[in-house]
Formats: sequence, structure tokens, C-alpha cells
Amino acid sequence: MQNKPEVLLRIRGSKTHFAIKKGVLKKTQAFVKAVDDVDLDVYRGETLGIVGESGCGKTTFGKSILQLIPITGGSYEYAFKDGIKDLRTLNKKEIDNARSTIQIVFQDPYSSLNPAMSIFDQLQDPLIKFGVKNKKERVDIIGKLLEDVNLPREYMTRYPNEFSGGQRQRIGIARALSVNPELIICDEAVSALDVSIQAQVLKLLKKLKDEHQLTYLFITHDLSVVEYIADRVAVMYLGKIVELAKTEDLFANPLHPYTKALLSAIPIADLAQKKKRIPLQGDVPSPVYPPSGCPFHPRCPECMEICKTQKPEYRRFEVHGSERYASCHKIDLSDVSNK
Amino acid sequence: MINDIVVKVRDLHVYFYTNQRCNKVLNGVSFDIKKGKTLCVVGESGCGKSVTANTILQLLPELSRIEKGSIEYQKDDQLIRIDQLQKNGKQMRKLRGEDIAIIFQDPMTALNPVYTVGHQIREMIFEHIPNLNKKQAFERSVKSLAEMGISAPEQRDREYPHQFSGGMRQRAMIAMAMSCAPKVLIADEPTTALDVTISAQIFDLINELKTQHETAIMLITHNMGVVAEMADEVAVMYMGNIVEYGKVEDVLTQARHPYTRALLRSIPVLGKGKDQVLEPVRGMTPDPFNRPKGCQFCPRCDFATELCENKMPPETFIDENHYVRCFHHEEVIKHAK
Repeated sequence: MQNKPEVLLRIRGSKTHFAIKKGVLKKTQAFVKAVDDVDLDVYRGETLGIVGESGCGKTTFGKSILQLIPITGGSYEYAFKDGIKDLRTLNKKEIDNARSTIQIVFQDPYSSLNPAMSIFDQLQDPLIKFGVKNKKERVDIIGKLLEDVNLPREYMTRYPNEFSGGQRQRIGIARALSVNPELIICDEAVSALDVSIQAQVLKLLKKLKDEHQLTYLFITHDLSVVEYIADRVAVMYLGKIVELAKTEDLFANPLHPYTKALLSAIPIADLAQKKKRIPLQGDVPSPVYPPSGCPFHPRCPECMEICKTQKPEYRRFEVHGSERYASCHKIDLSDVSNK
Repeated sequence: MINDIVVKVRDLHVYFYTNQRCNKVLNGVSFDIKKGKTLCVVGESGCGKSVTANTILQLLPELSRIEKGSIEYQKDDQLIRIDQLQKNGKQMRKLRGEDIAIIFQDPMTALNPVYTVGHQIREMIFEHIPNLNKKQAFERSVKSLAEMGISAPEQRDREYPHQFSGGMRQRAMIAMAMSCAPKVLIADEPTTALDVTISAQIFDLINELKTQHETAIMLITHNMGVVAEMADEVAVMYMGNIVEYGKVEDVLTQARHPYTRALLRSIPVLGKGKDQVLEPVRGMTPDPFNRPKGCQFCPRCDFATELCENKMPPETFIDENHYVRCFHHEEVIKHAK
């Protein structure tokens, strides 16, 4: 990634607000600002991790890329083979087609497969839709897909209840792969799995990425998983990206106080690595009434007067030639650039 | 040293019965819970961690029973055999909450939504401390909420669970569990439903209980990171057995069971970056109704021999506090070096 990487998806000012309606007339009382003003570039061929606590808007953001929920504002420019188009301006048919290049793997492998359909039936639907009319061909393709995700070809006649959680998640991945997508959004794809199974799926995802030249948007709350799989990481807090950097940079020198606290809160399975924890007070505030100024200021250990009144800008920094972004009033680059 | 042991479990067998089939959930589990120490029980889902916890409090489902083994509870000078008490007898009910308390995994479902949080804490206090008037009980419940770091406890006492956030509900659960100052606290995956920053707060709280009240803690988790941070002793469970048991330093750095090693190698560790090699445990956990004959881990193990296929390895003591259920533990440790 030395030369300038190609931008696959350019998101500017993405906003998703949900209206809270109350009373007989269902008057709009307030908005839940699930995703509020997010700028993000996804480069072709990278794995971009999005981390954050529950309720920070990471899932909503992932779904908004696929236009699975009504979006309030912003632009989603995607580099299709026939030119750059804004996903929001596409009509229904075009969106359907766009979904053959952008796919999603959901969190819960139990509820995302239809229990009444065999694996073959579930996997053939997208193939029929995108033009594989011959049944024999579909059997071939699905058999190949199952082998790709390390499952025997014969399993295609089975039903979801015959599979374990890890196997189901691999079927979910096979389904996403069936239409040869470029971008796969993995929404907490390994969170529901046991640790030993999680490793299988993570390794599989890495392997598939190389084989199929995929780009991943990897949404998770687990920072150790992100460190293992992602090239760049975006940290979300209350609907905003507070920090974005290359994985190594982010884990070595976090800039934003929230990232620092988050990193210090993770328990590490290594007795040699004892670290000092930065305790965070209280809970994540409600996204309906976000705090004034910096959204993180009520919990921030380094809070200053200015943080309470003024929203910090999402600024670009350059440290040792690699770019990174953070939104905080108090960013001290000196200790980072000295290293 | 002997007096430090509060709960002593020996060779515990628990079977579940369904549709004329029998699931041997626990197959000879032995461990101690010690005063002022944390015992962590780790394992994948379905290995019997939660059943172990529930058995200590006799909270097992209807069609199940303790087949063999003993659970002893040291109450001051008296030794109580919990496994011989009646499930809903007077003595058992007195033990629950007053001597041994439990925190469940999901604070959203463990609290009753139609009563105030304070009411639910006081329910516990009235049950175990008679002769308290309402005012004293109220003061006590407020105090226990305040101890858990809940701000404005008087007001929070009168609120309902839905007005609490996830982390606060879990604090309220701990407040409830600790309101009668139990000697043993069993925490069954207390932070699985919570975010990392919130679970860090909860773990600090549990550690505080350990040091200030000398509570004996049994913490059930599936996260090796939590084990490294919290535990004094670790029990690694697989398919109804403790396969390795010992001090946390010994188990994490000198693991002698192939399963413990495999488990440690399969998790991404923060700080090791992208080049770390993950080795998933091969194969799958066997069907509990159709278990391997000998060692339960045998079909997935690299060291397995014919002996393992036919016989369950006994508890082999490495030293006083460290035991492992494996015939080939010498080889395993040699191989690792």
C-alpha cells in the first residue's frame, strides 16, 4: 500500500437518525442520532475494522452502506466497474445489482439462516437472481462454495438445524460469496462463536480475502480480533468516528482518550503483560440527547473546559508518513512522533 | 491453610435425563473455593461450567440429579454437606443468598421488571435477616447500592430495572447478591452481556469484594483474558471434566493439558499484531449423548494414543495445587519446549 490506494467506497457526512414518535398523533419527539456525520474512505483490498461499544452505531452504519435502512443524509460514492455512483441515488433495480458487489455477513448464525430451507435452496436464491439459470451449474457453484468454506459438498442437502454455530456462520459466509462480491460487510461475524471456533472462521476469512480479492468492512466490539484481521481501524463512539488509523499505529500509540481507555480495559491472556487500566466513569450517554461539545467529555479523564462547549473537529494528522484521523481538542503529537 | 477452604467439591457427577437418554453433564469434578481467592472456571459453551455453579446452589433442573460425589460447605465450625440437603428444604433456602450468592449472566432477565430494584434487594434482606423494620431494611438496601458505586442510591432504590443501564443492572445484581454479606460469591459469566469498559468496572468491583470482605469467589468465564486478570486459581473444563486445575501462573504458562494449550493458541492476543498465528482446535466438540469412550478430548488431540481412546485419564498431580487429566502430560510439556 505504498502508492496511493484506490478508494472503493467514499462516504461523506453519513447520517442515520431514527425518529422517536409519541402520542396519539405520532408526533416526532426527538431523534436517535445513531450515525451522525461520519466520513470514511474504504480502500480496495483492505480490511477496515470498525470498533465501538454497543449502541455506538456501528451496525447501523454497516447496514446503511447496503441501503438496508432509510438514511437521513450524506453521500456513499462507490467505484463500480462502470464508474463512480452514489449508492443513495440508485433506483430499486440498480440497488439490487449493487448488492451483488456488496454483501453482508450477519452476527447471529442462528437467526440469519432460514430453518425451513435446505442449504442448497438458501444459497441458490441469489444465484438465480443474478442469472445462473441452469440448475446443474448452480449445484456446481454451490458445491464449490461449500468447499471454499471448508465444508463437504454433500452438506448442501442438509438443513440449518443439523449444523453447529461455526458451520452455520461459514454457510453465511458462503452465501455472501455466492454472487462474487467485492466488498463484504462482516457485522460481528465471529462474536457469537466459541473461541476455538472463532479462530477457524477468522482464518477462513483471511484465506478467502486473498483468494477472491475481497475488501472487508469488519464490524466488531472485540479489539483483539480487530488487531488480528484489520489493516486500518476506525473507533466509533456515540455515532461518530473518534479515531482512525493503521492498526499498528492505533494499537501502539492511540491518540484519542477513548481509544486509550478502551485498549486498557481489555483483559489480556498473558500474565507477563500487566498494564495500568484507565478507568472510565459511568455509561455511554443516550444518543437521543448527546452531551454538548465533545460527546465523550462526561467520561473523559482528560476533559478540559473547551471540551464541554465546543465540538472537536475530525482532524487529519500525519505521523511518520502514515495518515491518521482523530477528533479531540487535546492531541499531543509530540510523544507519538518521538517514538 | 485447610481452614481457608470454604467450599470443597469432590468427584461430583451430575446427570441430566431427557427422553430416555442420559447426558452425563459432569463426570467427576473436584475443586476448592478458598477464602479471599478467585477461582476461575473456563471452557467453551456446553462444557458444564454453569451446571457446576448451579449444582453448588442446588439450582438444577427437574430431571437431573447428583449421582455421586460431595459438596461440602464450611460454615464457621460446622461442615454442611450441600449435596445431601433437600433441594427446597429450609436449610438449603437459608444457605442460598445468606452464605452462597450467585450473579447470573444476563442482568436484563435476572431482575424482575415489575418490582423496583430496591424492593428486590429488600426481599433478600427480609428473607435472611429477620427482626428488621422497613426503615432499617431500606437503609441497608441503599447502602448496598451505594457500595456498588451507583450514584444517587436513594432515588435509584425506588426505580425499576428498565430505568437502569446494562452495567447498572449488573451492579444492582451484585448489590443484591452482596446484601447479606455471603462468604461465597458465584459469578456466572457476569460481563458477557456488557461492553469492555463497563466490564472492567464490574471486575474492579469484584476484586474489591475479594480484598475487603475476603469473599471467596468462583468466576465462570470463557475469556482467557479475564482469567489472566482476575484468577488466583484456574479450572479448565472440557465436556464435563476439569482437565487442568492449578494456580493461574502454572496453568497459563506451563499448561500441561493439550486442550489448555490448544485453547490458548486459538485466541488472538492483543499486542501481538497481525502476524500472530492462530491455530484453531481441530474438529468439533462431540455430541454429549454420544461421547468418546476414554478421554473426552481424544478425537481432537495430537497426542492421543490407544490408551486415551479406551480410558479416561485420572487426575495426575504435578504438585500440590496443580493437576491434569492427561496420560501424556510429560510429552505435552516437552513438546512445547
